[in-house]
This record gives sequence, C-alpha cells and structure tokens, in this order.
Amino acid sequence: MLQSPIILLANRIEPVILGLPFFIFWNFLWWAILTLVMYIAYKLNWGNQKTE
Amino acid sequence: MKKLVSGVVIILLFMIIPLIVGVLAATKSDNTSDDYFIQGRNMGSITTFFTVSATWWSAFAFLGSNASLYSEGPVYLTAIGWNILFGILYFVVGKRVWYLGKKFNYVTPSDLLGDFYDSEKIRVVVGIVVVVFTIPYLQIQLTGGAYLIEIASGGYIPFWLAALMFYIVILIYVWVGGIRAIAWTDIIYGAILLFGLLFAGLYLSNVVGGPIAMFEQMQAQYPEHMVLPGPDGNAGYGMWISLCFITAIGALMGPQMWLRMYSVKNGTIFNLMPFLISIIAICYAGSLLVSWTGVLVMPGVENPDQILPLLLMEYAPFIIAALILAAGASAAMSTANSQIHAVSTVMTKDFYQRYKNPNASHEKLMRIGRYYLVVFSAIAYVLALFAPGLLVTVGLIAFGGTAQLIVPTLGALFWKRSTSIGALTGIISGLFVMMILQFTPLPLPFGLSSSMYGLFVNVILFVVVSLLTKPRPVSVSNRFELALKEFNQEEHKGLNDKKNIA
Repeated sequence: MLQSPIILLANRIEPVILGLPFFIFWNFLWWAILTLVMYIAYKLNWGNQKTE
Repeated sequence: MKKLVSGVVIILLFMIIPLIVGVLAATKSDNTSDDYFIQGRNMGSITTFFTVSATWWSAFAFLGSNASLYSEGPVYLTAIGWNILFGILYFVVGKRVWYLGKKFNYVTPSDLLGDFYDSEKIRVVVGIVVVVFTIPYLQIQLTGGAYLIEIASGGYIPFWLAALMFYIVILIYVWVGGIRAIAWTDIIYGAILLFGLLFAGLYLSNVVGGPIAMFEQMQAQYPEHMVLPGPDGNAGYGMWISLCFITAIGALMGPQMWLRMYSVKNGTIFNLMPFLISIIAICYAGSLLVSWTGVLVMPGVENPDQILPLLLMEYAPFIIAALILAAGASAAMSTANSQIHAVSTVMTKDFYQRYKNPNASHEKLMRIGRYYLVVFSAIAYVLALFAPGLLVTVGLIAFGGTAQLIVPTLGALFWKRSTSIGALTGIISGLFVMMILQFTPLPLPFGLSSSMYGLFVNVILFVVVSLLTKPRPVSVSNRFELALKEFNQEEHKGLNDKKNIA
C-alpha cells in the first residue's frame, strides 16, 4: 500500500480527512495499520517463524 | 551575550554527559577484544533497540528529511515504508546473522560472507566495500553535526572547532568503552533525537496556526508541493521506491548494523524490533511539519539542509532552539560513533588480524582497533572540513554501495546453490553499474536511482553466474545448511514450548 504503484492513486490532496491532505492521511493511516500488524506478529511469535 | 552563554552551556553538557556514560560503561568491560568489538554478544533488549534506532536515524534523517520535504515535495514520506522494511529485514536477516555469528564466532560482515562462500576474495572485497562506503556516510554525519553545534552556540563555536570537539568526545568514549559505551550513550541520544524532532514539528507549526492550518495554507498556496512528484517534478514514484529500498537495505548492510546483530544477547529482541522501529517512524511527522511550515514562512532558502536550524533561530526561544539543535547533533553523533567503531573493527579483524597477525592477543587487537579509530576519525574530520556535500545525495551513494551486500547475504542465508564467483561478479558489477550511472549523464529510465540499477544487475548476475559455476564444496555448504536447519528447529521448538504452556 505504501510502496506498490497503488500509492499513486492516493497521490492527491482532496479529500482532506481530519485536516490532513489525502496523501498525508494515507501514509500515516498505513503507518498505523502496519505498526499494529507488527505488534500482532510479535505477539503471535511470527506464526511458525517461516516468514519468507 | 547571555544567550550565547546558555547556548554554549547546553553544548558543553551535551558533550560531557556521553563522556561520563562512556567511562562508566568502560568500568563494566572485561577487557577482552570480543567485549570491545561486540560486547561479548551480551547486549540487552533496551540497549539494542536504542543503539539500532539511534544509529539508524542519522543526520540524514534529521536534517536530510527536512531538506527533502522542503524542496522536493512529499517524497521523503517513503521513510515510513523504509522504517517498516528495515524492521522486517532486521528480523529476517538479522536474527539469522546473529545465530550464525554466535555459532561460528563471527564479528564482521566479512567473517560470515567469507566463511560461507569459502573465499578470501569475498572477504577482502566485502571488507573494502564496507569501509569505503561508510566513510562518506560518516563524513555527512560530521558535517551535519558540527554545523548544528555551530548554530546552537550562536556562531560562538566555529565549524572547525565544533567538528573537532565532536571528534574528540567520540574518540575518548569509544576508545575507553568500545561498543558498550556507544550503546549506552545511544540510549540518551536516541531519546533526545526522537522527541526533539517531533517536538520541533509541533512547536514550529504553531507559527502558522498549528498543523491543520498549515496544511490548509499549503493547499491554498503550494498545492503542487503536497503530492508527488513535487514542485520541480523530479521526485516521483521512481524516487519514492528507490529511496525506500536503498535506504533500508543500505543501512542494514552497513558494518555498524552487522555489529549490532552479532552483539545481541537474546534472540527474542529480533521479533519485537519490526514493531519498535515502525512506531518511531511517526517522528517523521515532525519533519513534515517543520519543512512545510518552512515552505510557507521562509520560501527559497539557499541551502535546504539548513531549513530546520534557520526556522528555529527565527521563531523559537533560544533555549528551545539550542536543545532541538543538540538533538540533531545527537542524531549525527550517535551514527558517527558507531561508524567509526565499526570501520575500525573491520580493519582490525578483517585486515590486521586476518592477514598480518593472526595470533594477536586481545590486548594487541584492542590497541590496533583504537589506533584505527584515531586514523578514521582524522580522515572523516578532514573530509568534513574540505568536502561538504548535500546530505541526502552523499547518503544515497553510501547506502547504494553497502546495499549491494544484501544479495550475497540473502544468498548465504536462503540459497544453497549460491557460489563465490556468483557473489563476487554480482557485487563488483553492481557497484560498477551504480558508479557509471551516478557519475555519467546517462539517462535513468523510470526515475529509479543508480543504486537500484546496480542492485538489479547484481541480483541477475549473482543468480546466473552461480548457476553456471561449480557448487561450493560440500563440507562448507553442509556446515551452513545444518546450522540454518538448527536455527529453524530452535524457532519451532520455542513456539511449541509456548503452546504447551498455554
């Protein structure tokens, strides 16, 4: 969501969400989601550890 | 005058604290070279987190982020992605490197790669690559850090003196305390740096009425600055993705990070690292606020690397400005100290011990390590004085160089069929392609950076040449395969134990 070309679809100012331009909002939204995912992954001990 | 005095007091405090911490750390040392170079593989979790993140967040992040966001639009926000990528790589690659290091007693990147590929050439090439490409990166830390100290003291401490103080302080505590002193001071630096950046952003955006007002004014006045490819149209998706990969991979493969994989005491910290590193990415919000406020109130600054200090001196009370600038100097110092230490470790272990004096005693190795410490600090000092460069540009070249090592490293960890000739061909041609593209005006298709092309060539040649050449001797590959199998088994075992308890 942050590094694939999908990011180009988010590359816009409107709509402004919570006072943030859309591109900024998108980046920090995914920051929050991915950080949460990393936390869950840690809690679950990274599944069976074969992350590749 | 009062202002100057308080500025200088802050700087002095900032210099003295790490000295005390360094000396304290030295008292815990057991005087072996393993302790000096990798803390006897006994580094705790909190220390690991702070020393990794403080080393990772350099002047490149503190000044470079603001410069880029100020002049190129939002492309630097890709930093969120590279923090997460770095965290995951540190877990996937770092944990395996840590395990192999413990098992086969490795200290440097060349130890692992040279041993795996069973090749002296690999050992030498890897040693040279990490040393050569760490020096420019070290130089930008010194330039950035000394510059901040100069401004924080109100010009009272000139650049040359600031850089010199910087060096002497680092030299003393690394000299006495080795990696433990660095790691301990990194806890202080790390905390100051992360809060400093976020605080600076919130504080400065109040100049234009807070973050939301700032975005509104930006949208009214500079809408093209708020989306890729930025105001000049140069910083688009190609750069977005290049920056992300090269920075994360290049930093991970720097010798200072290798040492921080080997030093770790307990493997579980690797599991938590992706989460911790991701959290701190929020601090880039600080850079965003600083630099876009700068676009509004201070457009057209000649050297964008200076935007943060300039804004602070103009809009913040002197004490706050000096504290935040000290935070910036922390960013630089915490990276520089680790780099000087890492480069001297590589020189001592990979070149001196390996080729000149294999039977050197611990005392001798530490003495040689310290001798290289002085030499490399001196080189970096001279470079900082005479070769100032744009922080992000120089940084990208340095990262691009070390990033090439990811290919043979992943090969060593995950691909049995990789061979030494494949690895050598890959690294050398990757570097060659990167240099050619960087320093000649050849066009770069898709806006990707020269180091990305280097990496592509590296991967392709590594795979093709490996498949064409003879497999590695069975004895060596079996030893590694066995070790990695044990690694996987232990990981599963840990998991099963946990399940049983639950």
